[in-house]
Amino acid sequence: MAVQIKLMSSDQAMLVVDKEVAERSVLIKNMLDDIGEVDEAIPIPNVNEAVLKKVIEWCEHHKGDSPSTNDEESDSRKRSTDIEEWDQKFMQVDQEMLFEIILAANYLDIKPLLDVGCKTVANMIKGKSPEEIRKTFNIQNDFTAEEEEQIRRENEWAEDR
Amino acid sequence: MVNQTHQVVSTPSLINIPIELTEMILENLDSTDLMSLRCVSRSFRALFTSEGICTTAFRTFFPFSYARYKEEPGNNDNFDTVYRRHYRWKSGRPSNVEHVQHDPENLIGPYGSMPCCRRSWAVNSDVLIYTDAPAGVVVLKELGKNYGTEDIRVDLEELLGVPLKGTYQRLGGKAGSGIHARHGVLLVTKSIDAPIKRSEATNFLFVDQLKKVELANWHTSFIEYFLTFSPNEFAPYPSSELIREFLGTSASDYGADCECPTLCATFSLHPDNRGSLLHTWVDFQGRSLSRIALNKFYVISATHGWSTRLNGFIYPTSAHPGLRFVLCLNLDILQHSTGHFKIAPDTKGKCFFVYYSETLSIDEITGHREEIPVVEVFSVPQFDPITGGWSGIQVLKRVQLRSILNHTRIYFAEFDFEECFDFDAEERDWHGIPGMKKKKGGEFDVVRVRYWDPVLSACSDSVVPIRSVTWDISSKPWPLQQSLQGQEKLSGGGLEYGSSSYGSINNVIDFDDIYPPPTYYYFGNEQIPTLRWLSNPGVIDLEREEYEGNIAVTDVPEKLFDTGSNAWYLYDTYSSNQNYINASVFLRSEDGIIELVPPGKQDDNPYPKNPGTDDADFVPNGTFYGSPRYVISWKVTHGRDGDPWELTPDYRGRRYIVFRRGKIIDGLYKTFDSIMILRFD
Repeated sequence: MAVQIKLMSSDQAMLVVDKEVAERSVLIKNMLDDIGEVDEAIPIPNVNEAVLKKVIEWCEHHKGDSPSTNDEESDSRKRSTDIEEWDQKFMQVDQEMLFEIILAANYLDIKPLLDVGCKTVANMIKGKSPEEIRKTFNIQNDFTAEEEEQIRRENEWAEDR
Repeated sequence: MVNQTHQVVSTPSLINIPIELTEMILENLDSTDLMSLRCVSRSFRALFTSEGICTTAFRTFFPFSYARYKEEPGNNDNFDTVYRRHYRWKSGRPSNVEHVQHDPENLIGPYGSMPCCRRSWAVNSDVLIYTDAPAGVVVLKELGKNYGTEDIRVDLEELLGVPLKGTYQRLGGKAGSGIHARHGVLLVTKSIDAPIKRSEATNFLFVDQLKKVELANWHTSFIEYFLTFSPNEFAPYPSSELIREFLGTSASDYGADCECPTLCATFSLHPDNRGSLLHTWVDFQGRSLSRIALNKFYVISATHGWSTRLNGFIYPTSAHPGLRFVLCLNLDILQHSTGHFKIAPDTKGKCFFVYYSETLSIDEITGHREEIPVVEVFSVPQFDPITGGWSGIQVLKRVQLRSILNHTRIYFAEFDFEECFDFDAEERDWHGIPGMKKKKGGEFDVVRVRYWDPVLSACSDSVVPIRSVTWDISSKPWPLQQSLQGQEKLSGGGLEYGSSSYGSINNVIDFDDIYPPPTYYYFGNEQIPTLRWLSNPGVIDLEREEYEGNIAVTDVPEKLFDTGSNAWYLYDTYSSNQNYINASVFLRSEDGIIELVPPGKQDDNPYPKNPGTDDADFVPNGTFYGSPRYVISWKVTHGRDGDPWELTPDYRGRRYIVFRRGKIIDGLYKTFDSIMILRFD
């Protein structure tokens, strides 16, 4: 029987998770190393239940992964398009959830998940025109005509090919 | 991890997450994506033009340009300026094109005979050097960060006291004259048509007065050398009056006791005293100098007509007098080889490099001979202030250049030296760049020898058309200590090696130094019908690229460092459109694309067990660069097919390319009508 611990989300939801899974988070692992066995739920004040469940789902899938070395971490950051198929599907969420996962991964110190999140966002931007980026992120073009003209002038050097 | 206690009030999005996370996302993008993000909305523009993001982008996308910015005082680069250069560079659109007119009346014959010797200009130390022949002037034009400042005009007649105006036609265009610039020193040579009488040149020393000295150490192609001291009052000489007398003297006045000398002068290219005269002397060894190894310590040269002899001149300083020495090449070597050799200087005045090809064997029936390229490193005499004497010349090492190409192919190919580097200095310049792996060199200089196939057909029998191979040769002498037979076994790389004369003082064998690993370049048939010329000026600010999962940083010449990435070269082609010159960025390929494992290689031991004794067929494993990732073209005006331009190799992030233009007038090809400077500011 695997050792389990309890996590308390910011919206007071209690989630029970295998210790091995939870320890994908460096923050939780360090905490458990410091305080030893604990029956109380560990508060995760910056992450709500929905996001915490997604994070745990990711950690469960990757619980057998070997810890990455510094070199691998460095390399993984550089391969922006190289996301595992399961991770790609995992990241097929709405944009609010995507950024919440990135924030949670950062807070919980889960570097591989943070990398996957950043790469996913990068892939939504890569190679796109400003208009395509607006559509992707549902952003209004709020430039005035004067500002548009100023931007055009700033980039004039690149236009007359 | 970044900021652990962030608070995000609104719905998280790209522009309101902590800046550190935005920067992490940015690291997975490229510079063009950043420019697009700036045009999305006001808030996006505010964020992605902010100082923090721009600094991150500069450091991330252009790491070497960023390193230069950090290292160079007065460097005002930022992401936007570098991006603009990068964009112009990749799209072949220089920010400025300048034409320098000079020597307009001088016509050159058809292309085909030593075009490089006809060059009347050079680039070194961020200076374009060209001649104003009618005025007898050498012009020094700033190309670096002070581009646009007034040219420095070196009046040769005034400085040397030689009546050159009118008669001193194009310095580089006539046999016997030339300008050479290396390592911040400009050498001007001018053959004097009229013979001179030796007895007139009382301050000069002649080869037959020198003392013959045996070479020490290794067997070498050079069989002997001569060494002599010169008077303390060495420079400048001869006097102006004496030279005037030489020039005005008729050959018939002298008879057999005459030689045709070459007038030589060096000038500083250093910004502090640019254009000032350093040394003058007369070389009596031939009508013109060739194969010049030049630095701020010495000039070593061969002379036309005496190509088996190297003449060395160590400049006098306040600490020591000048010194002349002569090395003679073994005629047997020349008889059985390509008949020529090349030399290169170091940066510290300690040694120089000689390339030649050595005959391995000759089939007496077919006459087939096998040649192997060799580089020998010679020490340069050093002055001992205690004894007041000079050290001798030694052969510091003798390196065979090995590759998977057979020797016969190499025999037909062309070799050249690239610039010699002082890696200690380079290390200071590039300190702190993440991921940089400095190549071997340490306290020693490194010179790169480059082979290339000028003709496609020469490659038709190879597995892949490798067009170029380079080797890096250090000046590190070996052996540092002669090992003795019977010593206990030495340990190297986990294997036992017999005692070796290649062992260092700690009995460590540096195999990479004994067998410099080759680097192969494959151009791809479809991209380059015929490679005509190759250089790697290492111009500007190419962005890091992703390739096969490896970041490829491309804005410095790969010669300086092993970045684990790529190299780029400029080349000329017989393309259908002659109005373009091309540059390519090569990416290092994975093993397996080409058979890099040399014949006979043992799986557990990449090197011969007994270097120098059982390595005749050994070829060190090399690095292979695949066909170009980028092909960048600049539009230029070519005069005709062949010899349309000449690029100037330069290094370390220069932001200009210099080449000459040419055109045909009345059936004659005129190469020197102008120099074209492309700038990427």
